[in-house]
Amino acid sequence: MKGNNHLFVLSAITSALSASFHNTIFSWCWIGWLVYLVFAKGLQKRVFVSLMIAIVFLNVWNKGLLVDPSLKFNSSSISNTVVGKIISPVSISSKAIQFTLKPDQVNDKTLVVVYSDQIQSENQYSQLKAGANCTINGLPQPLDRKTNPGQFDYGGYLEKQGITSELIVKDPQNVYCTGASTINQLYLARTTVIQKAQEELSPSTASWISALILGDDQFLSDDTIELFQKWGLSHLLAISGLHVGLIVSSIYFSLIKLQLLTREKAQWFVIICLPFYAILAGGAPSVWRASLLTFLALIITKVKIKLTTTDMLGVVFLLLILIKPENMYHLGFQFSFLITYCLLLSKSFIQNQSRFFSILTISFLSLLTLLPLQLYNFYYFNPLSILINLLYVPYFSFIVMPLLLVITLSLIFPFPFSFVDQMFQNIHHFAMIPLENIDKTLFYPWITGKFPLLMFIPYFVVFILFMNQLSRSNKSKAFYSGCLLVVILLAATLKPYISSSGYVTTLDVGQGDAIVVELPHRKGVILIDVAGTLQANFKSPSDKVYRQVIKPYLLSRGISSIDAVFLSHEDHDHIGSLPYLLGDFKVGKLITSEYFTFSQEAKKILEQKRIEHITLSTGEEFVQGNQHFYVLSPINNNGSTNENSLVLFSKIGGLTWLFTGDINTDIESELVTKYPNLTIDVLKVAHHGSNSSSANSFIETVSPKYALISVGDNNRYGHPHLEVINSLEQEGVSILRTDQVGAIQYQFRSNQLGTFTTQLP
Amino acid sequence: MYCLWCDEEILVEVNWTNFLLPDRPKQLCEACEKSLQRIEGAICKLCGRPSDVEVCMDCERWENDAGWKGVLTFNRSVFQYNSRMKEMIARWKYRGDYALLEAFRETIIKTFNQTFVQVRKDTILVPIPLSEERLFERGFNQAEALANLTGLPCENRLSRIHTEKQSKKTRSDRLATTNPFKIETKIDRPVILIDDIYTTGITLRHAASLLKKHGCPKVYSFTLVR
Repeated sequence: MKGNNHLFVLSAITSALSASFHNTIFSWCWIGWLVYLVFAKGLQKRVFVSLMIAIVFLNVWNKGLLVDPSLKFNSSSISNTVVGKIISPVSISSKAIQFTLKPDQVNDKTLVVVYSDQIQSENQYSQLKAGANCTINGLPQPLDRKTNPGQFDYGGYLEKQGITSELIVKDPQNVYCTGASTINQLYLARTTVIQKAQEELSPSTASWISALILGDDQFLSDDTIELFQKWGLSHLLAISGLHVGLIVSSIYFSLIKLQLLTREKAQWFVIICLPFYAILAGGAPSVWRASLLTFLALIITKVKIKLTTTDMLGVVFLLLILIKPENMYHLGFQFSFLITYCLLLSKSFIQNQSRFFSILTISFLSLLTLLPLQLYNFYYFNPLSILINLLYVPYFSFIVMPLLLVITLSLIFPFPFSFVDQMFQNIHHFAMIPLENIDKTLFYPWITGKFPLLMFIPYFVVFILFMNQLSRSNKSKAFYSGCLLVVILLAATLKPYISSSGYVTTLDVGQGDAIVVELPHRKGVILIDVAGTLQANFKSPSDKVYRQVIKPYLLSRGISSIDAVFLSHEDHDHIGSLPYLLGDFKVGKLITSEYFTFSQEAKKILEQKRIEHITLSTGEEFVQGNQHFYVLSPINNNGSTNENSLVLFSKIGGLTWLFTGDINTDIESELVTKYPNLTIDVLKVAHHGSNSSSANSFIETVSPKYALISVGDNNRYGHPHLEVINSLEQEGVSILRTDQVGAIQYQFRSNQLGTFTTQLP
Repeated sequence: MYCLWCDEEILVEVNWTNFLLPDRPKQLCEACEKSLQRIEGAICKLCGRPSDVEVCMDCERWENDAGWKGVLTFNRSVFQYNSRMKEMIARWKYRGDYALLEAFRETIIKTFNQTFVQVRKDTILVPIPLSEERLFERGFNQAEALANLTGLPCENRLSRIHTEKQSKKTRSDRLATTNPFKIETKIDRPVILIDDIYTTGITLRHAASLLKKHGCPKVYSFTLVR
């Protein structure tokens, strides 16, 4: 259906939406629109009929693809020994080896993770090849579930690929594999090149070659990846049209200029190489999109069929969806196609502009098209990234890629071009300095919070209208639709300021505390403790829980500044994420007990950032908006950090709350003696449910309705202790545990009573 | 879709305007479409040709002649008569490529509706007739084919005496001819005459004067080219 291929693509998208929301309204609306087109715009009947057939097919097909809930993880149904076939490339990183296994008897796939610090010799994993038949003995595990709002749903991501469980292998001796498929040769070639680069080139050059030529970014530092993400440059790290185009054209022209092949033969050579390159470059959706599009464009000139680029893109889209339906839910796939469609549709508009403005337009349009997806997944965007792209896209296209190509090709010679390697290192080091400095001084993200899915449709409708008017050079109308786009963004940003809903969220940070209080109409954002995690050695701090839980939650709520952070006491599981938090967010005040002491480093940061430190003693209160927090303890210096925990009492959303830090039974009885009439509705159970706290008598006296226990799953302290659970149950308290239900959120309106919801059922 | 004129395959580039609202299927390829010149902008208010002055020289001569003054209220046309148009008309009219008219359909309807938006309600469309011999020769009346596109009622109130082809004559020859039309039934409502070409304007004026003589209050004309 020439010229109308994008209508099929839109049919596929609407039917995928229908399937994932279990609501066919999306498809029905689309069918309605198509009927309108038949009558009002003369859409040909045969196109319409084919579209209808496609829509019915896609709906039935998409529905069938959803993971059957009955297939979901059930520990009893999965045995420890699994026999099956490796159906993915085997990815080897410094931490673990991963691959997808399709067990012989069942339909759903398993992600096998072999921890590689236990792998002694290369021989033991050399048998792990794509297509190999394996017998593996390991520990079946359910997929990691998303336990916090705003957190990346890794389990859901795997589930979309048909993977329903994980198999953890601690000892590589337990893996027996034989055989391999032919495609494994390509995977092997990729690994070989990556290894060769690692061995023969400087680490920096090798890491960039792995990422930009072979599509493996594991050697790039997390900081670099984050830096590129913050500045909207991630597209440079994912192999896409830019890279494929450059690689293909340089190979083609060198074949011709060196007179190795005729034009005709060189074209066929490139055509044949493209699919292989897609696999060699890691097979990410953006790589496939770019290679297949180039492949199709070249093939078409050979067979004398005429197709527009948009139609070819549509063919590639449908092909990738049919081969691998989960592509539709892959962020890289969505970004890649959205941006390519946007630029193709804007082609004539861009061409009408001067060179400088056309580059600026591309940068600007890219930001606008991707905005809803960006805000849905990352909760902020960086307006200045438009300008940064102007600098770094040409730099990567004309300097980095050609240099890296030369270096990669030189790997076939016995001695690589070390001077080019050296040159690249110097240039690249120098080129990255401005970006790093700009990041330090000019990073002003626009934090909107999680962009509601429902707003996608109005956004894109207005955006299409905007582009429509712009390309007809109807400037005044385009200005109004442009304003409307900004209004949509402002509406998303200002929603919490208008909404009368308030939230108290106990995040699931594992073994630790982090509670976020958001007052109605955004009258204040207050944190009570910010748990940190430790690395595997239990000594050095790690930003894992901050990066994965606390920061995404705050951003997803559209929070950029925090009015006050209460720090109950000095332990890492209560304040460990503070340094990272102060680095990313504007923090007004830090509030502690008078016995709290900051480390020397922390003091320095506080001075540098000019953050006010307030100490409160028992009987004093802190007021934010019209929310009062009363300090009930420590009354005296009790000599230990836990016992000196700041105990807070507050009335939020019609309930009385007691936040207890890590106090023990002694302090509890002290509280009861000092405040004999203290009764509360919600108790943050002290010390993660340890039996050193929460004495029977205390619970009896304060008689809470709800008990919140912030505790790590399977923690090494055995928290929460059975005695505590028993005494809470005896009192008839509803117990909410973060290790069981994930984040616990209390939502209320002004001062009316609200409801508790949990992330997991 | 293939171009009705050059038979090249037509590729529609998708852009922001036709992304959700696809254009009607195109009949001409972009190159052929571009070779046609639509009449837009400043025109002679009487004959509708592109003109910088309000009334062109030609029309001034007509209006200065007492016999022809005000016979035709005004004429409007869709395209200019350039060489490509000449070829197209020849293929359509003389060599019987009836379907070629489809290439102009949308533009004709649009221009017609824009021009006659106020008067079209109570007017009657009258196509310039062919003589019976000529109709037999060609197989269709090109003026009637054009009139049918507009979707308004169209009545054959005129007939024509067989004469030599207009296109074989010079301007002075044409102006000297006697009225070749006969009226079949009278019309007391305004009329829009439809023809393929307005060259000197004599044919349309002959028809118009005859209609007016028999009580028609106002005569406009609409042609494919001018």
